[in-house]
Amino acid sequence: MRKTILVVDDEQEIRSFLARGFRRAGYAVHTAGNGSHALEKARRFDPDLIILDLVLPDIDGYSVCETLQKEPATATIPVLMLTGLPGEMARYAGIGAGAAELLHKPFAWPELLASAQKALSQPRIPSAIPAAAT
Amino acid sequence: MKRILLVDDEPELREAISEALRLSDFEVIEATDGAAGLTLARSHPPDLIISDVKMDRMSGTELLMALRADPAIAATPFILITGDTDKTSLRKGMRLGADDYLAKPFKLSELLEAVQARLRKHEQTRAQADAKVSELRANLSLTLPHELLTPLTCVLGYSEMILTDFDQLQPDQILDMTAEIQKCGQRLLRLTQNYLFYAGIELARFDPQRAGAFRNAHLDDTTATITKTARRAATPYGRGRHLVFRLEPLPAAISEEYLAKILEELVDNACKFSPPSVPVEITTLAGPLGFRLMISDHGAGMTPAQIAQVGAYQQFERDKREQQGMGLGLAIAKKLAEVHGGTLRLANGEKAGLIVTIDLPSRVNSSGC
Repeated sequence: MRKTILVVDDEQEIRSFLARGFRRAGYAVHTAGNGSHALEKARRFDPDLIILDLVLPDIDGYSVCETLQKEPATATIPVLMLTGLPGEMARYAGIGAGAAELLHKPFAWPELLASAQKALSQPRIPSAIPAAAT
Repeated sequence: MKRILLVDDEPELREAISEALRLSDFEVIEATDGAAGLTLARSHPPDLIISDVKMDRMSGTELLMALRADPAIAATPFILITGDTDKTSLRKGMRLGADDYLAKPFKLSELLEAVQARLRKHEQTRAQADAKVSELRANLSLTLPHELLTPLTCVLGYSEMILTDFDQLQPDQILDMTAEIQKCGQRLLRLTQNYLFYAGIELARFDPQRAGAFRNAHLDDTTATITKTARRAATPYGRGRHLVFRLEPLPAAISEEYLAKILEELVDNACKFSPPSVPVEITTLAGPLGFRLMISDHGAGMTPAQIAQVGAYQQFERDKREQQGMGLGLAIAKKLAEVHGGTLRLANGEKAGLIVTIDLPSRVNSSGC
C-alpha cells in the first residue's frame, strides 16, 4: 500500500510543487494551507509523514507539531519542518517541538526527498518526550 | 561645532550677528549676497542659513529657491531676516519653505533663540526620518526572505526535477514544470519591483524635493489611463469582460504613471480576491477633493482588523500572510494617494466585496503648500 504524506504550506505554489514531487516519487499526497486544516487532515487521514511549514497564517508550525505530539492518535506521525526563517534557532525550536528534522527554504528537492524517505522508513515512535504527569 | 552660513550685504549687521554666534560656539561662514551664499553653501554645507531678504546679487528668497532645488542642501534650515517693508518678500520666503523669519530690528538674543529652536527642530526631524528608514529596513529584512524564498523554492525545485529526471519525464510534464518556473519567476519579478517601488515612496516622503515633485503632476482626463490599465491588469485573470466602467472625464493631480500603478494594484487585487465570473466595478466621479475613484469587487471583503492594518508595517507580519500578495499592492496604492495629497479608504460593500475609494485633488496646488 502506498504511503501517505500530508503537505502543509500556506503558499499554493509550494504545496503544488511538493505534491507533484511526492506523487511522482510514488506517494499519496494530501495538502493543507493552514494549521487548523493540517490538524484536521492529520486526524482524518493518519498520514505516514507530515511536511510542515513553520510559518502558517493561523496556528504556527511549532504549535501544530506540539498539538500532534500530545494526541495519542497523531503522536507517532513523523514531521519534517520547512522554514524560510534563517538561523539555527528555528532548527532547535522545530526539533524541540517534536519535528524529526527542519529544512531551510529554498531546499534541494533530492535532499528533501531523501529526508522524507528516511523518516518514512523509521518505526513510528513519538519524537518528543511527554511531559511528566503531576 | 554647528556651522552657520550668514548672508547679508550690511557689514555692520553681519559683524554683530557673526560675533554673537561665535560667542555661542557656532562656526560662522559669511557671504555678502545670495549668489556668494549659494556657492558657499554648496562648497561648505552649513547646518543652518541666516539670510537677509534684500540683496543686490540674488536676493534671500532667490537663494532659498536655489537651495531648495539642490537635493544635497535642500533640507538646510533657513531663517530670513527682513525689514518691516519687506512683507511681500517675507510671505514669498515662507511659502518657499523658509523655516523662520526675524524682522529688523531684532535683539541678538532673539536671533540666537531662533537659531537654537530651528537646529533642535531639524535634529528631531532628522532623527524621526532616520528612525523611519531604520524601521523600513528592518521590516524589509524580515519580510523579504519569505516573500522571495517561496517563488525561488519553486524555481529551483522544478528546475532540479527537470535536470535529474529529464529522461523519465514526458514532454507535457516538462512543459507543465517550465510553465510553473515561469509563473514563479514572474511573481519574483513583480515582488522585487513592488518592494523597490514601495521603498522608493517611503524614502521620498522624507525628501522635501521628491515629495514636492509628486504634487506637481497633473492629468487632464483620467478616463483613458483608467480603462487601459484596468483592462491590462484584468487580462491575466481572464476578467477583462467582467470590468464595468462608470467613468467621467475628470482631471486629477497625479501623473499617468502613478495613477496607472494605483489602478494596476487595485484591479489585480479585485480580480485575485473575488470569484472568477463576478463584475469588478470601476467608477470615477467628482469627489470632495475633486477626483474620486472607486473600485468594488464581489469577493470576501476584509475584516475590520485587516482594513485597519493596511499601510502599516504589520501588514507583512507572518500571521497576516493569508492576504499574501495583497498587502503590498494596497500599501503602495495608499501611499501613492497620500503623497499626492489624497486618501485611500476601504469598506466592505453592503452585500459583499470590498470597495476601495481613492480621493485625489483634481488640480495642482499652485501655492506649493
